[in-house]
Amino acid sequence: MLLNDVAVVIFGASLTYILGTSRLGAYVKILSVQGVLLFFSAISHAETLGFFHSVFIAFETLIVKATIIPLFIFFIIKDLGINREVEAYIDNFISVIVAILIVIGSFTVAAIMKNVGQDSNIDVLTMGVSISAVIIGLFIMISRKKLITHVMGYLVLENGIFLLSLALATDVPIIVEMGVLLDVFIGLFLMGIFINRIQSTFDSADISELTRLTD
Amino acid sequence: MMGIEFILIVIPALFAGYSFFFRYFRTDRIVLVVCAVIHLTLTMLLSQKTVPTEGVMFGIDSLSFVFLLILSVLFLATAVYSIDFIRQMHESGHYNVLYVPALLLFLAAMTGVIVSRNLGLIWVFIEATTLASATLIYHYKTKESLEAVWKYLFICSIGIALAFIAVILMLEASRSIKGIGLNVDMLIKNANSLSPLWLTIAFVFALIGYGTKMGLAPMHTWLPDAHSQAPSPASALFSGALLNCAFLAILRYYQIIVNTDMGQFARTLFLVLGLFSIFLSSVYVYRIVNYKRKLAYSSIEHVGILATGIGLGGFAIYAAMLHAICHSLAKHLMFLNAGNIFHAYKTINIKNIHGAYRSLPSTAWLIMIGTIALLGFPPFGTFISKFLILEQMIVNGRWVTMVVFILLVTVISYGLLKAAIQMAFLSEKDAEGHTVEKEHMTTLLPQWFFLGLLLCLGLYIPQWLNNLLYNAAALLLGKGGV
Repeated sequence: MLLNDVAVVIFGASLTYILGTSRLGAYVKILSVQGVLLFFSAISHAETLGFFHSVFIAFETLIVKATIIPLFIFFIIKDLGINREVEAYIDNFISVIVAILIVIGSFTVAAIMKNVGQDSNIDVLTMGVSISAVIIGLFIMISRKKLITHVMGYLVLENGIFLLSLALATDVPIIVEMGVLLDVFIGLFLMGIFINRIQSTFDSADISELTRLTD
Repeated sequence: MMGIEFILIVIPALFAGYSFFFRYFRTDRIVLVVCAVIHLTLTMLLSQKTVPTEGVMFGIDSLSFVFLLILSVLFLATAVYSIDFIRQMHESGHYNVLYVPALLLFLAAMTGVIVSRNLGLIWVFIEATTLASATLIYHYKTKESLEAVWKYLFICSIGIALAFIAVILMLEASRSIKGIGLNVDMLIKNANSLSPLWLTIAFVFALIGYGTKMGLAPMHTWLPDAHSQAPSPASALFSGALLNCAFLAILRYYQIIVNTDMGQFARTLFLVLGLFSIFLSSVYVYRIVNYKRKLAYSSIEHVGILATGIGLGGFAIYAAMLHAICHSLAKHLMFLNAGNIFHAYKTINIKNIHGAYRSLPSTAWLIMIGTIALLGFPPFGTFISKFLILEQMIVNGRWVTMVVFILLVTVISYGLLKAAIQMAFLSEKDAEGHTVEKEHMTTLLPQWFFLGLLLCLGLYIPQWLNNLLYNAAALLLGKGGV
């Protein structure tokens, strides 16, 4: 499982990088790279997945996650003339520290679960990285201003869940396919369209515009 | 095998396709009512077979039949109300052709959640409800509705992502047992052989994920926005049916965990989230001036009461089932009333609505009596269910919880009653020329019918319903049940 391990480690590194950078373009590239890494992680499970599911998941990761979605986001950024700056509420330096803390915490949780659950099936590395990805995705959503970065945060979260399902559910491949494809495809398309509208209805695609409805 | 359950999902979807392609407002109205009637008829046919065969994909047990019944009746009311609503929309030139297809797809998805007996499938249908209802929230295409739909989609999609983790973890929990998959019946049967650690974590994720959809505080933030921006017949369905569907999805996990030693933990979580929801609602509900937002916060309160009922266990589960029915009826009728007010006054701001009894006599009375029914005063059904929950608190010896519960519910009641009295009967001195507006029969009939049902439930619960609720509660009792 060397391939899987290497892919997962690089995936984990990309998570800390995404919180350290302040350029929107870098976010999109990282998402693309993560798609490729998920592909490598998936093909290391090809034996349990079987041929058709493997092909499907390869399509999902390489074509959808690594190509179409990043291109679509690039298109939106260009088309709507969104500022290339990420615009976070939190300083980059602190973000990286938070990322490291999240990774440490996730690995601790994964290790504890392996010990307490007495579950030999758990791979602490994959588990830890996928939990980190889920939490870092949430962190991106709450700490960044732009709506487009929120969508990308959601994608990081999705990637984390995909990794988790690869780690835990490869013997029921339909689960791996069911969840993420539906979510990413429809969720992103809808959100992309909505961002388009938001751009034209509001003045900018900035979360601070979304404050009309309050109590 | 094509069971009635499957047909129940397919028929609304087919009608939705028809309505989407023909886009004619006159047929749309008929389609909606016809579909609602078919749905209700098929639901009634199902009432005889409430024990599902093991391992089936779609099936009905007593628990899901309660929710299916609620959904079916509420949808019929929405369909009848929509007859006039669609006409108004058409006359004012704002008719959104996606209204009927979205409503029907929404019905199909919610039916899917209720009749599915597979955790993965339930997840897929919950996702589908989100997509269908998003279209309904964006109905008026204003800036506010855009904001509401964005928040709704985003927050709920995070919730759904977390619920998906719950599905994966449940798979991990059942790994040691061969061929069990995600079938609810099989999981319940083998609950004690599941890995308790994974099961517990899966339950927590499901509670938070679907709890977002259900509107449990602190994951409720999308709810007031979405409910206030959707057209009234749709927001009535959100409060009455959608929240219940998410609740059922959580209960499926609860059904499994309650048969293990972790049942008490799950109940505690329900109790904490439930009481927090009631608390949060009581903080906000008084000072909100948008009436539909006020009702939405009241929904958060009632969702909290449902969770509290499950958390208390014992007889309170029966009460929670009864409360689900009563709250759905009461909230649905209140949202329809709000729709009447909005149509007549073009605003839903409480400060601008005084003495509606002059221009909308029927609606004013409906708001007054409906509020009383919603808040759980006798002789309505909500009184019985709330009273039974209080009784269970006494039986369990939770005196502090009981006092807090009563205080919070009283605060909320005050906020809602004051608004209702002011809107319905308090008139300003210099009330300008009050013309009596024409109230269309179909915009009043569903509400009076529901009030009648609530009154019946408060005075006498028929035997078959009593048995149904008992059986549903028995499914949730588990082994640690009091």
